Amino acid sequence: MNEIFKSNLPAYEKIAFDLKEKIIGGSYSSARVLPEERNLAEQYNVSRNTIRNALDKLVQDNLIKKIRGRGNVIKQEKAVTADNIVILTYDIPYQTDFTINTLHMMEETAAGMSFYTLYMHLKDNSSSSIENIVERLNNGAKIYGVILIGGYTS
Amino acid sequence: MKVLGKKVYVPMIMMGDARSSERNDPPSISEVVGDDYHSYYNPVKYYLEKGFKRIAAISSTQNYIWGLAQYRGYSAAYKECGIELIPELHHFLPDLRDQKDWLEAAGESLRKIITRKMAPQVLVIPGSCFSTAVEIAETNNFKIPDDLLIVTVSGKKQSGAIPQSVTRFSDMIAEAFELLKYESQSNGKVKQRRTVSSHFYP
Repeated sequence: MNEIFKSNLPAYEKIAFDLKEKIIGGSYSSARVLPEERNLAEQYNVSRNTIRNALDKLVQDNLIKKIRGRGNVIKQEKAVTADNIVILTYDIPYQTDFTINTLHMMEETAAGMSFYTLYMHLKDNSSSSIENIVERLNNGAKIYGVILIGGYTS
Repeated sequence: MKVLGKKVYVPMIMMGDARSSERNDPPSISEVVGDDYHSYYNPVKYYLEKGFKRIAAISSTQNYIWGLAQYRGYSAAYKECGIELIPELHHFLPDLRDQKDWLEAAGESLRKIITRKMAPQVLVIPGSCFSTAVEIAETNNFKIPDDLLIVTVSGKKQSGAIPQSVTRFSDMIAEAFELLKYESQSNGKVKQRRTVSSHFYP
């Protein structure tokens, strides 16, 4: 489960973050369409209304488009070829005013510069956690750069 | 961080300081930090010059760069104004991992400062403490005096009458993207530290 789910963000934003990461990470690349609303609602254990709000956010972010009869179609080519900024958090004991505001503003700033934002969380500094992040950074998405937030040890 | 830096071949920068009591100079990766020193220095100097003598402050933990910088700013303002600092008027918050414990610790510091015989005239506290200060006071059976001037230290300018010391999140983010761009153009060899200014709004 994505670490974003531990945050205090509204449920629809957490789901939008998670779906965005899956889209850009290629999880839906074969179907090129997101699962139906009711399936997503079951998967995330939320109401369909929450899912609709999350999907609306993905539409706003230009990641999907709603096509009658086909569902929520992924604008895959654009997502994969566009530059992505990765926001990597580590060792944040709880979601402070600083982190919540920072994540929101960074996403907005990135969007204003035509970047997509990928949110990743480094669980600890073990080699397996670092390898996991490295693997995700090398999964084919075009990464412009990484911004680290949190208590990084030197 | 060094391990990650060796394995990730894309430009990387850090926002905020590393969890350490000292900075590496030069930094091992580029970073954008807030001016924690002046976030406390500016308001304390302002009120000392206005004639207030008992200015209390609660700052972040002394274990890390930012808490130490806040305290240095606080004490430097006293020193520059030639006024003796009252040690009991300053408290460091502990480095707690649990938000509830952290707020309890903040409440305890607040109680010790407020209930002193010679109560402070001004109190400089992190913005995250302020929202709960009144509640903490009520829960712990003490009251925040009406005449106590509270200054909050935060990352976002709020409207209203409360004096604020602000290092804007938005300035830090703009600087972070600018620095990342610079790193990208320089193949990740910049390794620069940029400090975002703190502004005081009395």
